[in-house]
Amino acid sequence: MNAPPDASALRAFLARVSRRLAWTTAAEGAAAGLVVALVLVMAGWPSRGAPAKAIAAAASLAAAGMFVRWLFMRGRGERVALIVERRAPQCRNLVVTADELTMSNTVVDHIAVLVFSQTARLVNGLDLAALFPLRNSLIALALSTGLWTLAVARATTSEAESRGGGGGSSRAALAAISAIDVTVIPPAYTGKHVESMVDPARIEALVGSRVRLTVHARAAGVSMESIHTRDSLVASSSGTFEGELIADADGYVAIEPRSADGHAGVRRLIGISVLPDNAPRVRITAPARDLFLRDAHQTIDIAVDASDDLRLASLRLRFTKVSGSGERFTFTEGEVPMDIVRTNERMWKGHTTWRLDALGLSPGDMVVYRAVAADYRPGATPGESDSFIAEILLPGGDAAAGFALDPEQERYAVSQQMVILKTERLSARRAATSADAFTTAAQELAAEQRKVRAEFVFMMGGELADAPDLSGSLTDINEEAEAEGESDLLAGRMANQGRVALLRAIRSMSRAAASLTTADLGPALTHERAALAQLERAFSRTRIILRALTERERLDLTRRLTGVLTDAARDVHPAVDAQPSARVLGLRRTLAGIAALAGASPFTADAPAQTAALAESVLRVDASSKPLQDAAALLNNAGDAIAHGRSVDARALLDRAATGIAASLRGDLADAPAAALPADVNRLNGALNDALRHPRATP
Amino acid sequence: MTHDLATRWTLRAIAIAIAVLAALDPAIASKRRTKPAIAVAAMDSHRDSALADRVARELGKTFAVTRAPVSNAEGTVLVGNGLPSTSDEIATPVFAVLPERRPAVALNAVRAPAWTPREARVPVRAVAHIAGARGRTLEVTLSANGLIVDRVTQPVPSDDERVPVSLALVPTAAGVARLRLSAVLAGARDTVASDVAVDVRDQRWRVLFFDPRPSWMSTFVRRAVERDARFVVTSRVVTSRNISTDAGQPPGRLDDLAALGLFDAVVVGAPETLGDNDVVAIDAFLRRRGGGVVLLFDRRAPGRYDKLTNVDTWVDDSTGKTLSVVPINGDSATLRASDLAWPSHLPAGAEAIAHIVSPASDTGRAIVWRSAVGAGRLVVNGALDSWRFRDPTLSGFDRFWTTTIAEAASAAPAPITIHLATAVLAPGEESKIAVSVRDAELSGDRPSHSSVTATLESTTSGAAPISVRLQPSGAAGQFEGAIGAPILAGVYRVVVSADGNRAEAPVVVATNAMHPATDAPDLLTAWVNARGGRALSESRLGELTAALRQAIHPAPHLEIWNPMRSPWWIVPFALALSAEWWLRRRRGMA
Repeated sequence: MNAPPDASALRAFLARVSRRLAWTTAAEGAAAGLVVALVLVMAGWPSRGAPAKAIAAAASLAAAGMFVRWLFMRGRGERVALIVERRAPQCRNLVVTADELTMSNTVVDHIAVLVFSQTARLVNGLDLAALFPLRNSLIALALSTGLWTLAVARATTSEAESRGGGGGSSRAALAAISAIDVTVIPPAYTGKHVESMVDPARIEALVGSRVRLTVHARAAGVSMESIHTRDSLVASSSGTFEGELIADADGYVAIEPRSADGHAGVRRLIGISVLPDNAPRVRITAPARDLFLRDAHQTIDIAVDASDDLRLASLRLRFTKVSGSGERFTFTEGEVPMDIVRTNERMWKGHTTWRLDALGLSPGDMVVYRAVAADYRPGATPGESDSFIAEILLPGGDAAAGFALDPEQERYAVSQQMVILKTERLSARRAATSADAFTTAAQELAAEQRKVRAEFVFMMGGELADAPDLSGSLTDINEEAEAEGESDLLAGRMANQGRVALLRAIRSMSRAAASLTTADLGPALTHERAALAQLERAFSRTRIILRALTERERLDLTRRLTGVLTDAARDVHPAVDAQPSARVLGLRRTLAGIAALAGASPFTADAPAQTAALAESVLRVDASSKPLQDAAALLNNAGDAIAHGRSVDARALLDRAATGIAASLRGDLADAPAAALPADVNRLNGALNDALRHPRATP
Repeated sequence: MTHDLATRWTLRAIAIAIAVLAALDPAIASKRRTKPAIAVAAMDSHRDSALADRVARELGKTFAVTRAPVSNAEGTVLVGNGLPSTSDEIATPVFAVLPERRPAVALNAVRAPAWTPREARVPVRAVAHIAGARGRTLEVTLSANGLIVDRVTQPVPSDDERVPVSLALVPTAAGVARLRLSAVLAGARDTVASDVAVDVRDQRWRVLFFDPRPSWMSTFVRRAVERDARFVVTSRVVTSRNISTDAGQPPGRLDDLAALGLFDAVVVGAPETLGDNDVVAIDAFLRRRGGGVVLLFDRRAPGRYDKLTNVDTWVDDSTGKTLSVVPINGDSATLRASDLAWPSHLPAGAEAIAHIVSPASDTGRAIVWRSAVGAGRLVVNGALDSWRFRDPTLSGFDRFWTTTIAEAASAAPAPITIHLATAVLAPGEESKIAVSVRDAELSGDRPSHSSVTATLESTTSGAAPISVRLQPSGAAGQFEGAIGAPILAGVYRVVVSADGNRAEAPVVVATNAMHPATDAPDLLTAWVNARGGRALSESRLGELTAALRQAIHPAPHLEIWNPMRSPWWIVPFALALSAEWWLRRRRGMA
């Protein structure tokens, strides 16, 4: 049998009901899913500043809600007709009956027709919107969608505001740094690898390293500022800026984004610690003492340790052979080959067995040796070990200490004045002395004169070539030697006039020695006294004073012990009012800033920018101080914590930063005295003392 | 008359009788025994309130318990280990319940200067008493206006430990710094804390250096003081007759007391050259100004100064051997000197500031010492050539003398001195105040007259000043009174005016004010024993009721009773009228 037309009307009605129920269920499920998403956004998930994630999460949860709701409906297995009957009791099971008849017609046709027709009439009179209202579900959906949108917008806006420095301007919020890639390129000679970091709080770089900054920012321009310089980064592509600086001193680099209209975003502060490249350290570990040898047929086992903080380039054993005596010393430089064991590139050991035969040393000669290690740093001074000597002893003699005059032999210490005195005495004894004895004594005096001369020659650096000709002009000075000594002159270690006078004295001594050798005491005395006069000029008190005083401090002799007594008057100056140092003032200002920042509850929108500024002010005070570096890093971290809504962490970090800065400040200040005793207690103490000392208590 | 009628009339009569008696409100006097009133008070509201609640519950079965000290109670039970700050409101007999806290920490003897110059660091010292916490770590923090500025941690070596702790504040600006010292044991939740207020002032000590002749010793001490921002230095170095080098506006002579009185301390170089008039003037400065005087000897020579120092015999040591002169207080700022002078016997009442320990004996020789003269203090230097060793790598010359002169200057009283027993108060809390007027107190003229007014003024709100009543107390120039903390939290100042001078002291009113709890169970036991009670440990709390019963003897007292004032009369009144109305309705009557 074909279904009667009224049955089709019933089916259409039930289908409409079913669709409406499906929409209602979907709206309710989606609303529930969005409520869950709202709770998650308020709890901070997904993280702030990630609206795309939040939208995806909400969509997923809404879909999940619809699915769950559908499952729930399906699980109940309720037929649509029953639901209609429940909502419209006036149907009196007619809709259910008709629905059942559509599935299995078990009654005679006319009854079915009757049922269907009556049902059709009945359902035509039913108001579907009244029976199954969508309004509440749609309101719930709209409400949950609105609340979720608000929550996401608030989270995103607060993030942007906090990054934008609280300027309250959307344009300022646009200028923000998302990441900073730092590449530290050590100097090539170090052989160290390039180091890369992302968003570091502090950069440690070897002195001379290049620090390359790649800033990813939503900004029109980015600038970087260090303690001494300010520069702009170059835009390499959209949203990427690059710049470079040389790590030459402890400090910081502050990176600031700017929008097209010039509004600055939140600065990022990165501390810079510069590690020095230390000179190599080298020491002779064996024999590590001066040696005094019987003869030159000896060998010396020498061991050397060298180390460097980066890597060693060379290790050598150098020596200076000193031969000759009296006024004739010759110095020969040389190098001893060594076997080198490289423990690693930073630690080397050297060893050699040095045969002195090859040097041709004579008794009284010596060699001075030292180890020299170099690293790869261009132009760096090599490290040198202590110098040790190996001396071939004279028969019956002791070794001299280095190049000093022999302390055992008084003749080295005989002064020019004593030479003059002895010459005068010899001259006075001349009549009572045999010719041979006189000549011998005069020659002995000549030897003494030469030794005094040698002392001054050593004083001038041992350059005997400078005074070669006894008959030469006294003002003829070797210009090359003089030019070599120019640095000494500039450093104030010599005065030209003093040097000339000393050369004159040495040459007079030479002439005196020559005269004494021939027992010609008259000219000898003349030259000896000339030498003395030149020495006095060379070491005059005036010269010494003038060399010791700077121009500013030179005594004004016109003001000493001169003037009129009546001109003397009271000298009045203002009262001394010391001011605290710039360091104390700077750190105290920072501490006050931290206190003001921490005192705000909740943190203000510009708190991250404030912490960055405080960190910068700390490093401006002293960028090389470790405690202050730590405090600046803590402030930076506090700024990050504030920006990400971690207030408790931020407060703890601010506390630690304040404690560190206060600890640095405490050393600059003295303690306030403890509370004073009340005046009546002091008075009582005084009265007790008076009573104990009576009757001499008061004057 | 039927039974029903009689019932209705009876009910009506009862209702009328109740109404009439209520209108008459008769009073009945009787002698009765009631539950004795006992006051239970926690010594430390933070730590002891839980135990105080237990005590109150325990006693509540037998006594009428009031959770605050009240003077008209039959007795008082104090809960805690510390003594009460006042005994005014405490009714006797007094019992104490001593808490058994394990582990426990208490901060005792919290000390901080009432005021400080801004250029000084503020030491805050206390003694932490730790019980039952061997092996744990104690952390003490100092916070200023809510921000932690110093922290000390140290292990606790034994179960009963008293650890002195010292922390410091670096003031950032002038004004009141509310400091909170907090202590906590690692792993414990309870924190003990104590609040103090320090007035940070833009004020420096005024010091006069007066050298009757040029003196290296005085010159180098002056230079050290001049570099210290806590001082303003005025100086006069007399270089010849009528010729001197002055800094600031020093008095022409020492015997000008009015000019000298402007300074907190006077440092005299080459004191052996002082004349009689100078010595008299210095003595007057010490006694009438209460100032500090430092005599910086650089050689031993007789002089009129002996009238100030009261030294009978001096001993010299000029052997040239360099010795260390060590401060008595353990400070590391030692002096070094090779030319020394010290009194053979320290004058009566004098005390050493720095000494050398004689190799021959265990007794120290006081090289730098001080003595009270009147209300002032005299400091005498016997390290004659310590200036030669002023290199910071050799000695603590600069720090020693700046510290010594700062102490001498800070001890000089201001024209008006205000002392508050507690400067951080809870709203409504009371604190004692003592005021000293220097000129009236130290002037030898009697009788003296001083007109003193005091007010408590808010620094934050525009509230009208609250007048503080002060009364003379004891000696001339001394006054005392009490201030009650206003209900509104904030920073207030006590302003005292007297004889044309004015002084201020801060008062911080905070709802969470914390006071140091002095743990002194032995003292507390003695204190309650003296007040007819005894101290019981927490574990013997069950014995407290019996002990109190035994100690108090509540006498029956005459009590006026107004029986008709009970609201329960409304019940029989309403019932009577309702029943009468119901009976009438049942009979069909209107």
